[in-house]
Amino acid sequence: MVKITSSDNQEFTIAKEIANQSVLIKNMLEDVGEADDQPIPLPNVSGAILQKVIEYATMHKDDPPAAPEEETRPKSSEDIEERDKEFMNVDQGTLFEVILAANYLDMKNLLDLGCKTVANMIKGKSVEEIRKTFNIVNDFTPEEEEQIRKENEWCEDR
Amino acid sequence: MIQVQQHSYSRHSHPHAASNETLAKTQTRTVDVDNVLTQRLPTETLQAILLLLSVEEACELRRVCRRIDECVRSEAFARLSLGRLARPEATCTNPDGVPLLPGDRLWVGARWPRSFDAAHARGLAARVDAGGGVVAWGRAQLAGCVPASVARLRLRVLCLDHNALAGAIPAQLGLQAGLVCLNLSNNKLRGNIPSELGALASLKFLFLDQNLLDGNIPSAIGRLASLEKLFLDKNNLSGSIPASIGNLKNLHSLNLSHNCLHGNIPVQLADLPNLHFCKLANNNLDGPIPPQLARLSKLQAFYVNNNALSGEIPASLGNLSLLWQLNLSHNAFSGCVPVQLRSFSHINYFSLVGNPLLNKCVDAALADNERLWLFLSDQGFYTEEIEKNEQSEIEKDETETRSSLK
Repeated sequence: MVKITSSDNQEFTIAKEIANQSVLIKNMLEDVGEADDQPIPLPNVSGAILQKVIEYATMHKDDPPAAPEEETRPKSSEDIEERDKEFMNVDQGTLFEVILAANYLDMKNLLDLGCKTVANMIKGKSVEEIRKTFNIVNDFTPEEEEQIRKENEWCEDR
Repeated sequence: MIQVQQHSYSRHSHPHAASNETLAKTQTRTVDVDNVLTQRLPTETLQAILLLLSVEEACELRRVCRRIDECVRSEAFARLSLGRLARPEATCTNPDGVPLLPGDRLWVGARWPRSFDAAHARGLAARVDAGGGVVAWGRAQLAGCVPASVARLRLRVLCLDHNALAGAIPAQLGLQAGLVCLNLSNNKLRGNIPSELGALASLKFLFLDQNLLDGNIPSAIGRLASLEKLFLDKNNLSGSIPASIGNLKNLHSLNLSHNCLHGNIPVQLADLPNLHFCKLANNNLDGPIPPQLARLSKLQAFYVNNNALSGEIPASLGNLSLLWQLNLSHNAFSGCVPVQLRSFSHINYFSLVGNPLLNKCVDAALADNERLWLFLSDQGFYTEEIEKNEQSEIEKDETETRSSLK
């Protein structure tokens, strides 16, 4: 078993095969060696999010390792397992915190899942709707925005 | 530009609380969100999300904010897009194996403008700036003409294949001194191949196949000293094959089939030391196969079927030790199949069908090459010996029948 602690000092004890799904933790474990009983501090992840990440890792602990050709195959955001869709059915704040955690913990599959979920939120929305959804401030001057609109005009399918 | 906000994530401290009401309409579960997407995600993650969208969607998203605009316009993003689209079946977007150089700008699109006129070319010029670019717009439903203004771009690769481009090939393309690959295949281009293209000293790949081009193959094509692949097949080209083709010392593949070319196969073809594939099929070529072609020591495939070639099959062809496909069918060859062909050690396709003047009796020594013999016997060629044996079989049968009748 492996002990990890979150940014808000919550301690989790998890099986090694679950911990190893994070390349970051795996490398840390290899560095400190088996004998060390000290918990691994993860100062960038809160307890609530770590709980969520552990839930994902537990759900996928028996997954076969990804085939090398998967790397080159073009990804599609449509390609999400039902249980993963259910897992990602969370508020936007949690979704992005999970993505940031996956990035920090180096968990490729979870990061891919997060990216696909966000891509699906973007698809089919207008620029204005996207700004609203993600609370993005339009930081272009009207002239700059018009310039991009012009550049895009000729590549729109009409 | 990467904006990393150091303060910790909090759902009550952002400055845009005023927009909560409108947000509530699009977000059922969240009333209030921080902008993590463009303010806290690392560039690689933001790129990974944008790569899951179509090229058009990604371009449209440029208007959202500066961070996304910069991300979509970045070199890295263009490269990743190429990697995503460069599947084996989409050779059009993998610009024919030309390696990208640092500084190449690449614009790939699955569904770009339907009409490709001068205005579009200006937009193109704005995007593909100085430094030698790549335009890979294969299978993009482009219509209209190839604008002469495209010549103002400094390109290394221009792929506009598998579209519906009409009109002529602009002669100004000859000014693209740095062009390495010109792929206009599978369009509806008409008119002549401009002789100005002969000025493209760096050109390695010229694909103009499957268009409606007519007129002669310009002799100036012999000036393309770097040319490795020349595909002009499936057009309406007429006249003879220019002798200047013998200057293309780096030529690896030549396909002139399915045109209306006439005249002889030029002896100069034998001066192409790197020629691996040569297809001249389905034309009106006449005269003999020059025996000098035996010098093409790297030749692997030679197709001259469906022409009006005559004379004997040169015995020297037996020297083409790497040849594995030879199609001489549907011509007017005469004489015997030369016994020297038995040295074809790689042959896996060989056809002589449709040569009515050819002597169907071949030397028994040809049967030594089992592969070759398989093709020959399949096409109704027999060794004299076998014929003799068969004859004696028939005679034996006849005597047996006769004796049984007694």
